[in-house]
Amino acid sequence: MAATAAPMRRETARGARERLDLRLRPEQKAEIERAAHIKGLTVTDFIVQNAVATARQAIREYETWTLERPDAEIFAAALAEPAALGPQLAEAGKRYKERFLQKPGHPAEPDA
Amino acid sequence: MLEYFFEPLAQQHDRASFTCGNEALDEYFRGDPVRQDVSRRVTNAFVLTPDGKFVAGFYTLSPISILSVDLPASLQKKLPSRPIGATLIGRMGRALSLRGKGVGEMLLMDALHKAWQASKLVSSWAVVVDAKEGARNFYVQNEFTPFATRPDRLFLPMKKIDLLFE
Repeated sequence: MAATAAPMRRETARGARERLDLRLRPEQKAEIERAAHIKGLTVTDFIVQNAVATARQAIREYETWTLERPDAEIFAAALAEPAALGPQLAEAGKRYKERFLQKPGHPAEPDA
Repeated sequence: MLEYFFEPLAQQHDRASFTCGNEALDEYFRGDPVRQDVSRRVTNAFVLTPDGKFVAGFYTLSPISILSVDLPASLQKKLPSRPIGATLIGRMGRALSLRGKGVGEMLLMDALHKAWQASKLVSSWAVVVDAKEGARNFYVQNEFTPFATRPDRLFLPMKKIDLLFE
């Protein structure tokens, strides 16, 4: 991630700029203008800062999903505790194995 | 029932007439997105079919890495402090015409089986699923645990899946 982000920053520092045209509803535009004013930013700076932050988060979430409490605790506890199968899942597994894994030469499972 | 079998999604499968009743899922599978995701190696897609053409159901698998932060000390010791690998069932759908025939169970079990096989080569701690509306109960019934802040995302530890297939 860091390797791809660094050259982008350098290019921006050199002053290269690109255009992004978009259409939005008048009330959306008015709301953005108002929020930018409140934050003391130009509309462009406000939109770019927020869009870039959201984009980075989306990319980060895609690459690594970071769990905080309580999710981290739920996840870690389940992975750490000894596993046991309940009857429904065990039955489903049995049905699947009988149907798909115990047929020699079956197209879906050539090695089974 | 016919002799259904699983195979990787390919050109000959009739994607165009597939419908599972969920519009977003249908659009994903009927249109370009699934093909693009597969050709860009974002996901792998598998279909259940009786004849190599008709699609009774499909699902996608991709890798996901999960970092758990801010754990209590007792749990911290039991997990690596780096991101750990897991397997994501990103999308799953069965043909609306086959509702109530156990197709969903077959799709899920095949996804778990493939995830389990893959975990023998590249480690995976759990199978994670993004449940579409109305599908959450199906996963809960199959012993998936929902995350608290994101209840449509559920997981099943690979240790449990080991017990299914070992």
